[in-house]
Amino acid sequence: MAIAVKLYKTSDPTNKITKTLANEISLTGTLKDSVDILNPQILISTSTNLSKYNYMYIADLGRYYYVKFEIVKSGLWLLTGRCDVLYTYKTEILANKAVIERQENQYNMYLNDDIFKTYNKTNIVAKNFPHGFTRNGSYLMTVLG
Amino acid sequence: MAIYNFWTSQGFIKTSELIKYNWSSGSSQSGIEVNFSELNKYPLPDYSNYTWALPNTPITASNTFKLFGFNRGSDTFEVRLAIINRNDNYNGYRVYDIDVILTKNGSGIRCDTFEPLNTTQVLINRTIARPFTHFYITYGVSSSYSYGTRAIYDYNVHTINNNGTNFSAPYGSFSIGIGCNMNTNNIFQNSSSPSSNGTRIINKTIYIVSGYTSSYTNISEYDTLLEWYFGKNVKYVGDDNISTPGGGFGTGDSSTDDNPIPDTSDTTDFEATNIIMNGSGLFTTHIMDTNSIAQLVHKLWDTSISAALEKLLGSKPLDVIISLKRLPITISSSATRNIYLGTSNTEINTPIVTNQYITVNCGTLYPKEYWGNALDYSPSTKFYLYMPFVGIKSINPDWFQNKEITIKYIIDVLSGDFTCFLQQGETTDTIHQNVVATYTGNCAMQYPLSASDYSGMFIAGMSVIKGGAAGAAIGGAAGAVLGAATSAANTLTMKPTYDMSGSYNANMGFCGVMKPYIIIERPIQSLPDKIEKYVGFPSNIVSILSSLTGFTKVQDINLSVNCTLDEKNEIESLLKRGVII
Repeated sequence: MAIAVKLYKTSDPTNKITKTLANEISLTGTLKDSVDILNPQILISTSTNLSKYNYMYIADLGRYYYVKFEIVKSGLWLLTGRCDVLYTYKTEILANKAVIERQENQYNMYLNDDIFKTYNKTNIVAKNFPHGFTRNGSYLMTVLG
Repeated sequence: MAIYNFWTSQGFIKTSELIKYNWSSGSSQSGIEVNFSELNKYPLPDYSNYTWALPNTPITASNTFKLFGFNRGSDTFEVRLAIINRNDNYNGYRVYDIDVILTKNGSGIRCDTFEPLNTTQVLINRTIARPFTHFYITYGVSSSYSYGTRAIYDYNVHTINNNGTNFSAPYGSFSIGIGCNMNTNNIFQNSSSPSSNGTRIINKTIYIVSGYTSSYTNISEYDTLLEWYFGKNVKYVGDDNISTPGGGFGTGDSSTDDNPIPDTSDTTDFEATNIIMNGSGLFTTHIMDTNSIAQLVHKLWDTSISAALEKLLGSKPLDVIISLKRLPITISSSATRNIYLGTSNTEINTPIVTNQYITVNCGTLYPKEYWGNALDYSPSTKFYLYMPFVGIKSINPDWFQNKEITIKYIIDVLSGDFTCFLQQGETTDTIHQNVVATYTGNCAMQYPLSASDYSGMFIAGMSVIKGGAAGAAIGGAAGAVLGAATSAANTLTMKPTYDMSGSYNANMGFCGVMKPYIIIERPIQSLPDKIEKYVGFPSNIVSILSSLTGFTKVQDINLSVNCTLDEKNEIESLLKRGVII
């Protein structure tokens, strides 16, 4: 089965929902055997060096994939995709409401948390109160009468 | 509906206290005034009143209500306003949550549109400030008032330059506006156009130009202002976006609950007790000095006087002297009296004590947060108090952090016994100073008046020394505690037995530090730079993911995505491990 793919380069972290894709090229390949839509394998015959690409979009499957390459023989590449569910379902994911455990910008620093690591040593300061007693003081004598 | 406090020119007020704006359909004179702050320093920006924008056509279903921002001239910043939420069921009012986002390197106009349909009542309710953007704006309703027949709103806009650098523009630093029917000509009537600030009409669109160039070099101002909006000074009630106290049965706001013990305390202060001494004929307490003591001793050892007294009293003259002691306070009195030994006038005139109790106020300290996070509280931070004649006591830092701490003694001059009161109070509330701890002891140094007295005191003193506490229990306490040596600390914090026996062991207190002090043991934080970008800070909020940016770790989610089960499980797993939005 012939299938169109778009290959990209991306340097974004894998856990970033929205990826920046660059260097798009469009190719046509053949789906190998039965199709696992999350991990599809595609044979592509091309003289282009595909090894510098790491991302793929397959419109027929409606998904974005991280991709790895194997050279079956000269000019024949086997592409194995791994679905990037974050980017594929970006819009729907972001529309969800969730309890946020940790956040980069919306946080409360008064919640106790393991992130607050401390040195074993501590900083100790002493501060006098403004007033106190006097060492000389007053002599008091109490007598009968 | 959540109630939010936010800053206005009148201070923090609740939206529920706002006068709701009647955006009357069919009125040709409803409008909104935009009010810009002048970027003055925290905490109280001055407000500049700008002229108002007046729609001269009614708000109808076919008209569009727009919030807009505009980037002027050579600015490299984009101002974007968006309505992120609305609520049509708030007492008949349409409520807008407005999100103001400022991002750098933008250009041109960005508009977000919302159609109010036939809504006749509009309340701009809430602002979300975006601290992660280059600028920081809060935008909200502060009050409404009438100008002639027009209902006018005030808006507050606070801006802070996040990175501490200047920004400038030929026509003003930035523009921001709110209005109606922006796409149609002649929607807004022009009013005055100040030379640099105020309302301008360009291509039928009104821009409110700040005309102000700011320079913030102290990033702490930004942090402080951030605290005003998100910290303890802004109280959120029932909001999804912040942790709420309580077990789910209350709102955490006593002003809305019928709570018999509200957030505000009663005053539990004390009054100095002025019990008049003397005059009873039973005893008299003289305020002595070394000269008068020497004169008295001379009289006592004068054989003629001594013999006369002994004959008169039937006992030794020293027997009429109940006590001779020294207190660590200066006592003065205008009342004087000759010292009588029995009925014998020694003709030594001294001041006499008239009040049995004397208050010694040692003053107030204001421990402040150091890290501005959970480390400033127990168990990370420890507070100790050294109090003369009491010793060193550990106190709860949670009670006194960012609050006043006051130490007062009330001393019985007759016996030297005292009660030491520890008071806690809000720095902003001088009324409620509450006693939260008390300590008792004795601060009188007793002088022996006979050989038997001296013998008794010596034996008692030696017993204290044998106990290993006497030498260390009273002074130089801080040094040993600083060293954190357990044995030393134990010795230093050990109290002499005077607070139990009320006896002359207090004499040793005179060798100690005579002024109370606080010892604060603070942790030293190790926080990697920008760690929040990798693991985030604790959040504990509920939010739509699209309203967040940066690293986000989800705790719980009822994921709604049209995908396969495997994909859904993987998405949920990734969200719970942390993603970058």
